[in-house]
Amino acid sequence: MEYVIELCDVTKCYEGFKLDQVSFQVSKGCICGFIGQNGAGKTTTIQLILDIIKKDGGSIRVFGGDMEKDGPALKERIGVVFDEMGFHEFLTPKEINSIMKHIYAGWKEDLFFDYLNRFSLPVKKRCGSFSRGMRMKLQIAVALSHGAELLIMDEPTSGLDPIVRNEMLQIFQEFVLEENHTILLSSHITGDLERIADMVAFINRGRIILSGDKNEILENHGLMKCKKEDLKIIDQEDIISTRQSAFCTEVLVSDKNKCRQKYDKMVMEQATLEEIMIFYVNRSLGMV
Amino acid sequence: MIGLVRKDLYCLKKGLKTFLMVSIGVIVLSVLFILSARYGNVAKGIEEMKIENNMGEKEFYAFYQGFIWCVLVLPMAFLGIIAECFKEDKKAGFSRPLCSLPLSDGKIVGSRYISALLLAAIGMAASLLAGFFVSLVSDAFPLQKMLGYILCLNGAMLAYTGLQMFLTYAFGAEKADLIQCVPLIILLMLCIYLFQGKISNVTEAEINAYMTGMINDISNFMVEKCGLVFLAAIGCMALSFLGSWMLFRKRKGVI
Repeated sequence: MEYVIELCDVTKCYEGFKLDQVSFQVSKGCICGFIGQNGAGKTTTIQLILDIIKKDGGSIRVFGGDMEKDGPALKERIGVVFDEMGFHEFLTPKEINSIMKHIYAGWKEDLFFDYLNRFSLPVKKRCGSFSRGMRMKLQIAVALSHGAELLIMDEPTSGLDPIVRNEMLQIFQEFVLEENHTILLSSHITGDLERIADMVAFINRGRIILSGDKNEILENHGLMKCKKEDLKIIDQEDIISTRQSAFCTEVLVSDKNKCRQKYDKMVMEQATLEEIMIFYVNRSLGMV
Repeated sequence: MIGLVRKDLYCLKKGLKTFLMVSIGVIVLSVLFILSARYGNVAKGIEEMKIENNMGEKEFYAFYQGFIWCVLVLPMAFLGIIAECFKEDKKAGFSRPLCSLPLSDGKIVGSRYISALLLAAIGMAASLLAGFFVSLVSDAFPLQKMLGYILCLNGAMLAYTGLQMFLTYAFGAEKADLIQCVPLIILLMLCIYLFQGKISNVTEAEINAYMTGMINDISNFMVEKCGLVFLAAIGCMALSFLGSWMLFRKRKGVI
C-alpha cells in the first residue's frame, strides 16, 4: 500500500504540552479523518507535516519525501486549508489569483475562476467582507486550483452551518474520486468524518490513541448498556471506559462481537465515532 | 517570489497613493521654489533674511543645500512603509499560509527585500526627477551634485531599512513601530558622540560659520563618495537579508 503521509514517532514539546511519539499513515486515495478535542494536538501535527514548525524528534515523510529538504517541490502538490482564512482582508479573489499564479507553477487561472463561480464568490469584492463560509470556500478554491494531489485541512468545517458543511463535504468527496487524490482532514466534528472518512486517527493530549480503517473501528467498537451493578460481571480487559447515563451504565468495548457473545444478556448498540472519542478520552482521564 | 512581491504592493496600495502625491508635490514645489528664489518673491524674502540674520552668500547657500536634501529625501523616505507589510501579514495571520506555499525560506525573505528595493528604486526615480528639474533652473545645483545627494540619501535610507527589517525578523512584527525608532536613536547617539565636543566649543557668534562649514563638508563628502556610500548601503541590505534569512529559518516562520 502506498502512503502519502507517514509519521513515525514524531515529537514536539511546548511548555505545558507534548506531542508524544505520534505515528500514523495516510494511504493514497483515501480521506483520513484526524479527530481530537480542542487542544489535543491536531493543528500541531498538521503544522509539523507541512514543516511550518520544526519537530523535536521522529520522521515525517510526504509523498515519500522529506519536507525539510524538498519542501517547495512537495508543497507544490499539496493544497492547504486552515481554520482561519489567512489572506489579507483587503485582497479580492482577483488579486489573490494574481498572487497565486506567480507562486504555484501548476496554477490554473480558469479553474480558479470556475470554482469562484461555482461557489458564488464575488471576484472583485474584498474577502474581509466575506462570511465564514465564503472564506472557507475561497481557501478551498485556492487549494484546488493548482493541481494538488493532497489536501490537508485543519478544521475546515468548524463554525459553518449545516448547508455549507454539506457542500464542503461533497466537494471533498468529489476530490478523491480521482485515484491519486488524498485528503487529511482534522476535525472535532465527528459526524462529518463518519460520513466521508475512509480512515481515522484519534489524538488525545498529544498521543494517538486509536487509528485505522473507519469502518473497522466502528465495526469493532460497541456500546453495551447495563445496570450499574452488572459492571462487576464485565471483565476489566473488555472495558474501554464507562459512562453513567440517566437510565443505565454505558460501557464501550473494543471487540463488539466477542462481548456480544460473552455478555449475551446485555444490550449492545453501535457506537458512533463521537462516542468512541468521548469514551477513549474519559479513559485517558482515568474515568474508567 | 513575484507573487509575494505583488502581495506586498497590494499591502502598500494606500501608502503608494500617498507616495505618488508627495512625489509629484516634491517635484513641483522644488521647481517652483527655485524659480521663485531666482525671479520671484522668495528672492526678495531671501535678501531680507540675509540682512536680518547677518547671513553671507556662503551661509545662505549652505541653508539652501540643507533644504534641498530635505526635499529630495521625502520620496525616498517612503521606503520606511515596508514595515506596513510586516504588520499587515501579522494582522492577517499570513505566516501559516505563507509557510505552506511552495517557496523556500530564502525566497520568502528575499521577496520582502525585493519589495523594499523596488520602493527604494521608485523613491530614487522620483527624487532624480525632482533633482533634474532643480538642476535645470539652478546653476548652484548641477545634475552631478544632485545625483551625489540622491545616491547618498538613498543609501542612508537603504541602510536604515536594512536594519529595520532585520530587527523586525528578530523581534517580531508586533514591535514594528518601536523598531522603526531604533535606527534613528542609533543615528542620534552617533551624532551626539561625533559632534558634541566640537559644538560645545563653538561660540554664538561662530555658530553660523561652523554650521556652514559642516554642511559644506557633508555636501562635498556626498558628492565625492556617493558611489561608495551607495555600495556600502547595498552591502548593509545584503547582510541584513542574510541575517533575516537565518532568523526566519530558525524561528520557522514566526514573525
